[in-house]
Amino acid sequence: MKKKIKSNLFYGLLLLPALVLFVLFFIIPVVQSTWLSFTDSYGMKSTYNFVAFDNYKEALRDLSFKKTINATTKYALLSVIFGNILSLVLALLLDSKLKFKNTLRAVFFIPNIMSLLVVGYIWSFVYTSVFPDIFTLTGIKNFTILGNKTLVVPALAVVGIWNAAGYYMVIYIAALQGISEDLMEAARIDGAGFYHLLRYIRLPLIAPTIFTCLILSVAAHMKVFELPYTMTSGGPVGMSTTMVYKIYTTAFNANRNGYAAAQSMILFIIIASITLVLNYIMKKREEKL
Amino acid sequence: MDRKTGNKLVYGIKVICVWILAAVFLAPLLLVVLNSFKTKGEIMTSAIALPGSFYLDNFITIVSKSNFVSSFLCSLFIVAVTTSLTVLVSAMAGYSLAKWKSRIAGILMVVIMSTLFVPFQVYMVAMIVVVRDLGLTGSLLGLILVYIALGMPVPIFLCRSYAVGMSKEIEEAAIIDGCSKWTMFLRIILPLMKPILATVAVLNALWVWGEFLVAFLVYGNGKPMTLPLSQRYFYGTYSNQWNLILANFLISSIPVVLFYVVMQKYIVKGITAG
Repeated sequence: MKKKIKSNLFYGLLLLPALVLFVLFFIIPVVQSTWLSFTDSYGMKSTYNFVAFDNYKEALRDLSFKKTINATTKYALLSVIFGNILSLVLALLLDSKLKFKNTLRAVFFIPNIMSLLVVGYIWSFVYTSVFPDIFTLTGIKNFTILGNKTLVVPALAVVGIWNAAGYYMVIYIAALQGISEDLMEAARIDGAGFYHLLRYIRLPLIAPTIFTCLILSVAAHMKVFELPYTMTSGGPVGMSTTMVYKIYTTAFNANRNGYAAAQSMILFIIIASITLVLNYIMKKREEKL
Repeated sequence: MDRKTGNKLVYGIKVICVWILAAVFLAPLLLVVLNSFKTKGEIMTSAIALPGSFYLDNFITIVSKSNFVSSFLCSLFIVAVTTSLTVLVSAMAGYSLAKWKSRIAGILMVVIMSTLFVPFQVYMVAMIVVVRDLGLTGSLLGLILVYIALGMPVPIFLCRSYAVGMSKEIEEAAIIDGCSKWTMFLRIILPLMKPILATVAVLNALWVWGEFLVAFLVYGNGKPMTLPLSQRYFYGTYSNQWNLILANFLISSIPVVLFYVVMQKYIVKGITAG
């Protein structure tokens, strides 16, 4: 009995530091955030009132907030789809026999180890100084990509893809290397070409990885903040204000914590629903096999 | 066309594609390097031309006039402390969750897993309130604690899976030899977990080194600035002096690129394990 208590104490104490941090910096903020979203909490003021669903109702009426949902999903959709295609293509190219394979992998991965803040600044240089110079050479004048209402979100997505491609490439390469060489060889002997190998062997076998990458990248791109913060400040006319950027300005510029918390909950609900749907499709697919 | 020339053709197309993509990926970074060696005037004239001479004044200005050195050291300090503590805390928790046969451990595992699905951005507003209530706004301690808390879920998870696979016999032998459970953990378990801890540490260090949003919200105007905070400040102060800004990015990115080259193996392992 004594030994049992001692052993429980040992395991309990090992868990303690993680548990304390976890309660302080996860459980409490999450509970607090949910609670705040039903209040009119303002800035540093310590008193506030319960307002039920007012913040949520306001968010659903607020055109400027709806616009951010639009911009964020557009950004995420572009980055997730084209990003995953690019990563997969890179993985397929780099999984085969190739000279300088490791150097090339490093080239594609390096944008990912750089701070997103620096990435944003570097690309704002590219968009505001380099592109105009190239345009001048070709005779186009007074055209700014980041100032263009239609192009600004795709321009940010290009940066998001540039930054993330290497990361998902590494995951895809690992998955491709997991496919047995015997299987590929057998198919080759049966006369399968590159397309058939891809369509009937490689893609189906790495399908679970594709879903995982989709889920990971949706969550990652939906919460983009640094890129609009550094490159556009959400402009022009709010066209590139992403949800997290909006939450940030609502909470820290307008000081409306309650409203910002409600916006955060909506962001969470969107990310969670997309994740659940993708998960559901993946499960369904596995059942069929 | 026989099969051999066909294969050669495919190989050729592959090589061309991959090198074009590589060039596109490298172009922005190449522009950073090029323009760090130019004067302000040269960049204004053309951002794509080669620098006229080997101009080093930008770097000298940054090191001597900005707070680059102090924020570089500050970030180094934060990474060292955060990463070692994250590794320790996660190893302890992961081991406990793997070996403790109690209902509490089971419940905790599920709860910790749930953090993986709630991004920081969702509760960042309330996080600021909590940090303020604890009196930790603008303090290095606060920033480090938040970094450990945010950085530990995946490491705990990885450590747990690793510890599940460790044989019980080693522990039993150690206990029979008269080790206390604590000595056993420090002397035997931790060294055994080294491979997974190294992976966890490398990924954590990379994240902490470049992290901006958390530092911005929790640490804010604290002094000394972390490297990303100082880069934001620097950008604000020297706006339009791209020669200085880019030179700053260049020298602050070199260490992390070197780190990557050395630690590549662990990074790949960490990403695929997660």
